Formats: sequence, structure tokens, C-alpha cells
Amino acid sequence: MSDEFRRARDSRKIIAGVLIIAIIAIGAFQVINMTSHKEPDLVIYTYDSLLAWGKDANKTYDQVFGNFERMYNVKIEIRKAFSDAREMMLTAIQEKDNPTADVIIGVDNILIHEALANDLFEPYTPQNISQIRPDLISELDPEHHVTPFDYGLIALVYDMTHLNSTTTPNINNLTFEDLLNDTFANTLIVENPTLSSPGLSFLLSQIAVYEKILHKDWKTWWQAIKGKVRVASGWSEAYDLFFTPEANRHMVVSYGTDAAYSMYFYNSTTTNATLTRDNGQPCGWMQIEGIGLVKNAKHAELAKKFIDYFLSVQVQELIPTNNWMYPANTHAKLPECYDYAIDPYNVYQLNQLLSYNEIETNLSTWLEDWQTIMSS
Amino acid sequence: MNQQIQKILRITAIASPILFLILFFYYPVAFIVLRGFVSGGNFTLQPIIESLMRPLDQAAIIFTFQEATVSTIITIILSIPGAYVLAKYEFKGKSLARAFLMVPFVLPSIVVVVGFVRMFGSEGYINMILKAIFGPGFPTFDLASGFFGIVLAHVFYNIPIAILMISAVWERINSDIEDAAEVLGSSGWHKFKRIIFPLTAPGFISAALLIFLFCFMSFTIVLALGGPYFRTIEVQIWSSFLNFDYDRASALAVIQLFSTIMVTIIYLKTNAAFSKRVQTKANIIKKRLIGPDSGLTRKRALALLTYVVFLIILLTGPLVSVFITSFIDPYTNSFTLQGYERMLTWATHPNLGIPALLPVVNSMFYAVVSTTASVLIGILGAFLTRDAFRRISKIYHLMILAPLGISAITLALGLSLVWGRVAIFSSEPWILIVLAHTLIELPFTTRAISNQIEQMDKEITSAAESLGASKLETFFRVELPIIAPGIFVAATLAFAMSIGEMSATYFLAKPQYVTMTIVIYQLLGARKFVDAGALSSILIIICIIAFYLIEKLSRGQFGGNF
Repeated sequence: MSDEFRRARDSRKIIAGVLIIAIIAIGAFQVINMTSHKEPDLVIYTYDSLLAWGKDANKTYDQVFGNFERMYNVKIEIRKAFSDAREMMLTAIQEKDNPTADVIIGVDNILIHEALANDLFEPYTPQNISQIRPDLISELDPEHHVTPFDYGLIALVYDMTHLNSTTTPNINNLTFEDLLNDTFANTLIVENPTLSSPGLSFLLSQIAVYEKILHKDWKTWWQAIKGKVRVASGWSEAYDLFFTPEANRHMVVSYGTDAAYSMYFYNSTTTNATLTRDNGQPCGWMQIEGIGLVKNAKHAELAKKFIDYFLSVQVQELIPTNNWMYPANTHAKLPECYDYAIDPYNVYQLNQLLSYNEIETNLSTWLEDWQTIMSS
Repeated sequence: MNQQIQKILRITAIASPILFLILFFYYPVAFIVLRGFVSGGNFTLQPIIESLMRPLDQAAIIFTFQEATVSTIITIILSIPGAYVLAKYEFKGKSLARAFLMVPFVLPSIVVVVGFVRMFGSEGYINMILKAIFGPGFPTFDLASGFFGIVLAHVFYNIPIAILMISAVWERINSDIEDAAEVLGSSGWHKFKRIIFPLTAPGFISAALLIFLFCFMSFTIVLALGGPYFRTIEVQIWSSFLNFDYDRASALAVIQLFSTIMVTIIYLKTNAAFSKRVQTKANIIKKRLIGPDSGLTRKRALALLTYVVFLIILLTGPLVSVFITSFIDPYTNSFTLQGYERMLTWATHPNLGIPALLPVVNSMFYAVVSTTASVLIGILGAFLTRDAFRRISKIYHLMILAPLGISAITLALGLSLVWGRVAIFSSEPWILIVLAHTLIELPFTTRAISNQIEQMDKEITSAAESLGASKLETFFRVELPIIAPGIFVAATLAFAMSIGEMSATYFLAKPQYVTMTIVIYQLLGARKFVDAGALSSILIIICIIAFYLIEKLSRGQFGGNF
């Protein structure tokens, strides 16, 4: 102890002081929270990269969301702190007894199973439903809990400066088993299927190829590639790693439109996309993304107007160069750079190999098995 | 004061901590845990057995024990030299060294992760330096992932506490005993085997067990560095909750609880055994490190220097990396203040969808309120050792340790499922977050304060009372000021834990209530390193300021109490 004849502090004063500080803190906190969080007219949940990859993301956001706000004189709150559509949906399911969201953008044709099982959406048929490609609707949800707004192929995207027809002649003629070679295994980035929807699409495409075309156990592929492939937790992380020189990885699971992206931004194709050919033709898994009205949404009427708006031609034409997927609205025009994208209707769609019921029954077992392989 | 009122006040004071614990800890946790014993409406061990048989859960259980054991052993071994020097020697800057050692322990684990990845990862600074020296062809070492990375991160986290605890063990051995032994002819190995080891072994074991417990419950580090390959039981519980597999989560929580209870019981037994063999205030004569007496040969000095350098690199490296990351744009390798610009503004952050400063406000708020609450309850509870409630106090002190061994996620979910829909908790969700933080801090604050009380001379209390002071007056005017150092240690620990908490808050927070740690984790996931680094640096600075203020309040009476 320091000096002996220190004056005794009245500890009651100190305790009172601390309590006063705590009370002021609570008061200030309430005030700050209330002022920074005004009740919005519409709450939208979506993943963080939605429409974020165009030349000017802020402008695009304004064209899509700002425009709607001005049209109806409302305030939209967009919650996009979700690194992936899966995480977003899980949050929505947790909240479903008292939903915060009115609209959810980004539930795809695999996540739809969980969404329907948890009764997350209210069926709603948009005004302009006749403009949406019918086969997408029947593939995603014929009962309109969720309406398709874009679609695209999951593909292997690679850096042409490192992997091209000179260094790896079979680059455009790969099978899944070719990927097990060190050349590819050590350079490939995949996304964790338990956390990421493109990752999950990729897993299902691999299961479809192995089980239905090759008639082999799908787990053997992962057991073989386990220590070499790099598993990212989401598409954003995977794509960022792809562009990080020190990571030294030149192939990533991404979308078939990435060559168009390269053309649009750099007027050259430094990155290209390819599909595996296990049955003699290019095979791809089609991902269809949908927009839906949340059940018991607080602002259901405005939500319906927003869904109609999001599916209108003017917004749909922003999808190709900002979300890098094909617009679901048949009246929306495609930009020139899409000559370089892989058209899902020109390839063999692996989706047809796994029935809706098959996915429904086996999805959780597949995910559990995947995790078990990776942990062992 | 009226005798009756005093009595009522005393009973309320004694009952309220226990009531608080039962309502907001035991009941919610029991709610979740009991689900692990229920299947189809019947009491059964089925879910637990299922979990033990499932390969994924098995892997998680085995890995948790493996990493905790390895981390503990390596931590203890590496901390022995430092602990020895701290216990036996005096040197300039010793108090600075002690303060420096406290820093990593109070760092939020997510910040540790950021620093680690940026320093030891394959795209991190160590590799950059190595390549700069040896050329770009030099192989890349990824030290921040996998088993090695997790153990290394745990070692970083726990070496400081190990050094402090083990040096405290040594300090309680009365040097008179050692001198007497030597005079009587024992030395070297014989002295160690017959004298030192029996005296210190329980202390070593109890220190080791505490570290084992910390590593066992590790979440953020394993989640971030383990990827899909490694998961602890805690991560698996989190994953099960995320997938609405409540029964599985509960079963795992039970398995985890059982393990930690076993470890805690052994810890308490060895701690008690150790306390019996040594005195609280040992007569230790410390030698000066740089002096004629110290026994410091050139060889030993060199070894010591190497050890110190290694420690400094290990302990400051991640911290420094965090600061560097906040200033350097990884794509252009150029200096930038944009990270700070984006994080220190009320404008909505592009990746988060909320104002950037909001998490800062939230974190500080939760920390201030929960620290106040846990210290107050800690004081109330610690004083249960007085009065005639001996047995209740023993039980209470065991009860208070429970949050140490319970998954924070289990607690968070229990709170939200049990209290989440009830009146005030559903309209003001932040209250549950503050409750969770308070409960997590409670074992530490109570321990810190009761340690201080144990060292207080009880005669002073009797003297005050015999001089006419009432029990309440004695409490406020005499006892509180004496145990003040313990209170300030408690406050520091509580603040640090609240600011660094991530797992429980993650489950309870709606977007406008998120904390800095959650946001750092989100930014890390989006690979926005500069922003994550900036916010981490801000977090570290807030911690430093808070500790400094608390230290100032205590006028430097910082004990090494634990």
C-alpha cells in the first residue's frame, strides 16, 4: 500500500458516482439508438454482394433502391451484412415469429427447400409474372413463394495467364477427376457448402456427376482433394483470394459470366470460365435466384410493389452488368459482353439429375458427410 | 440505522446474487441442457449417445481435448523461464513487464485472429519479410491455420497468464525452506524432488487446468483459424444452433459441461491442496538480476535474451500487425487512412448496412453497464464469506464458477429462448446482451474480490464494530476501501471480457445492437482487412484508455491477484 495516512475515500460517493455514470450511459444509449434507427417503410434482407460488382455500385444501388424510394416516397432499409444467402436465410428463419424483413432477395433453388420447410414466405404472384421465363418458375417454385429474378451457371473460373492452352492443354476439356491432379488441386479455391450457396451448388453438381454419371461414391473426390484445395467461407472471400497474388491460386468456383466480366472491365479476357465434361458435353449446375415476400411481413403491401418493381424490365436490365447473372425477365436485353458468357441453355444442366425430393431427403446428410470428411 | 431495516437489507444483499444467478443463468442453461436428455418426451440418454457416436461430433470432441492439452503443455513449458525470473529476481522495469504481460489476455480474441492472420498467415508479414530477405522463391509458411495455427494462437493468449500464475506459485514458497534444505545438505535434483516439487506441483497443476479450461472453451480462434477442418465442441454447438438442430446442440452442451465440471473439480482440489502447503505471504528474498549475486552467466544471459526476444515477437507481433494492417491497403501496398475514415463516421458502412460508429457505441455501453453490474454483484457475493452463512457461501462460490465452463452460446440461446419473449426483454433486446456479459464476467469479478477479502485482516472489521460502527458503516467506510484493489482488478477484467465478447452477443444482437467484435468478424469474412484492422485498433485503444482510467482510479494499486 502506498502512503499510510491517506485520507479515506467515502466509498458511498464512489458507488453513487458509478451508478450515475451507468444511468447516464443507459439514457445516452437509448437516445443514440432511437435517433440512428428510424423505423423504415420497407426492410429488405439480401447478401452483401448483390448488385455490387458493376462499374459504380453506389449508382446502381441508387438506380434500384433509391429510385423506388423516390417513386413511392418511402424509406428502405437494406440489411446486407450477410456474407451469403444461406446466412441471411437462417437469420430470417430465426426471426420468423416476429419477422424484421419484408422482402428477401437471393433465395436460390437449393435454399428453397429449407425456406419452404420453415414456411418462411407468403405466396405472391407478381403482376408481371408473364414476362418471367416459365421454366425458371417451375424449377424454383411453381407456387410462387419465391419468384426467379436471375439465373446463371456455376463454373470453374481460371486465370489465363497461369492456366491456358499452352501450360495446360486440357483446360477446356476437364473432367472432375482431372481436377484431382496436383496441377489443378493445388490451385483450386472452393467455397464451404455449409456457409455458401455457390459452394453448395458446386457440391451438388459434383454429387450429381459422381453418383449419376460416373456411378461412383461422391465422397471419394473430396477425400482425395482435401488437403490441397483451399476452402473459403464464402464467394466474396474466394473471389478475393483468387485475385491475391500471394495466395497463388488461379482457379476458383464462381459463375459462368466471369469472362464477360473480364471483357466488360478490361476489354480483354484474362479470366475465363469453363465447365467440366463428364458425359462428353459441357455440364453445369444452374443456380436460380429468387425474391420473396416474407410471411407476416409488417409492410406487406409495399413489399409486393417492390417485388413487382424488382422484376420490371428497367431493373432487370441492370442485373447482367452488376450482379453478373442472366435476368429472368425475357424482355430484358443482354449487353454485348455476354457473348463471352456461358449461356445456361447451351449446356447440359446437371440439375435434371437430382430430383427435388432427392435433394430434400439427402441435403442434410450430404452436408454432414462433407463436414465429416473435412474434419477427419 | 434501524435494526430491522438493517437485517432486511442484509438478507436482500445476500439473497440477490443467488437469485440473479438462478433466474438468469441456471434456469436458461438448464432449459437448453435438459433438451439433451429428452427425446420424444421421455428422459433418455439417447441424444447424448447419438452425439458420441456421430463421426463429426466425435471428431470435435477428440480435437477439443487434443488442442487444449497440447496448447496447455506448450504454454506451461514456454512460460517457466519467464515465471522463474519474475519470481526470483528484481530488475528495472519489472512492473512495466508485468503490465505488458496482461495485454494479450485482455485482447478480444477476434483481434488476436486479425493480428495473427496478418502476421503469420501465408499472405502475412512474416512471409513477406522472409521473401524480401531470401527472394520470392522462398517457400511460404502458413503458420496461422490448422492445428499449428490454433495452438500458436492459444499459446499467445495464455503465456502471459501462465507466467503470472506460475511465478505466483513460486513466490509462495518461503525461501527460508529452501535455505534450510540447503543448509541441511540437500541441493539440486534432491532438493527439487523432495522439497520443491511436492510444494509447487499442485500449484502448477491448478494453473495448467485453468489454461486447459480456456483452451477447451475456445471459439473465435478455432472458428476463424480452423476453417472446415477443425472444430471444437463449442464451434459444433454453434453450428448446430445455426442449423436449428437444437437437440444436437443440447447434447453437445451436456458433454461439454460434463468435461468442464470434471476439470473444474480437479482444479479446485489441487488449488486447495496447494494453498494448504504454502503461506499466502511468503518471505521471498529476490536477487537482483544484474548484480554479483544473480548467478547470471554469459550463457544464461544469452539464453534469457533469446527467450525475451521470442516472447516480445510472439506477444507484440499480432498487435503490431493489427495496427499496420489498418494503415496499409493490401492491393496497392500503400499507406491509407480510408479504413479509419470509413469506421469513424455515422455514415452507413457499405458492407455492414449500419452506421460505422454504432457498434463502437454499443460495445462501450454494454461494457460499462455489465462491468458495473458484475462488480456490484461480485462485491455482494464475495461478502457472503462473512456472516454466519458459511455453508451458503461455499455453495455460492461453487455456483459462481459455472459460467466459466458453460458455452457462451448455450447461455445466449437459453436467455433468448427463456426470457426473449418476456415483456421488457423483447422490447429492449440489449438487456439480454448486458445480462449475458454480466454473467460471463461474474466468476472473474467474484474471484478477484474474494481473493482480496481473504487477504484482509479480519481484526480490522472487529475493531471497527467494537468501536461502535454498524455493519453497514463498517462495510462502506472500512472494508470497501481496503478491498479497493481487488475491485479495480475485477472492473478491469470485467470490462476486458465484455469488450472482447463475441459468441454470446452474436446470437442475441439484432443488426442495430451489434458490437465491435461482431463487426470485425464480419469485415474479416468479407476480407476488408483495412477496415477490420482499423476497427481492431480502435478497440485496442479503447481498452488501453479504459485500463488506464481504472488504474488511475486505483492509484496504481494493481495487484497480481487471481
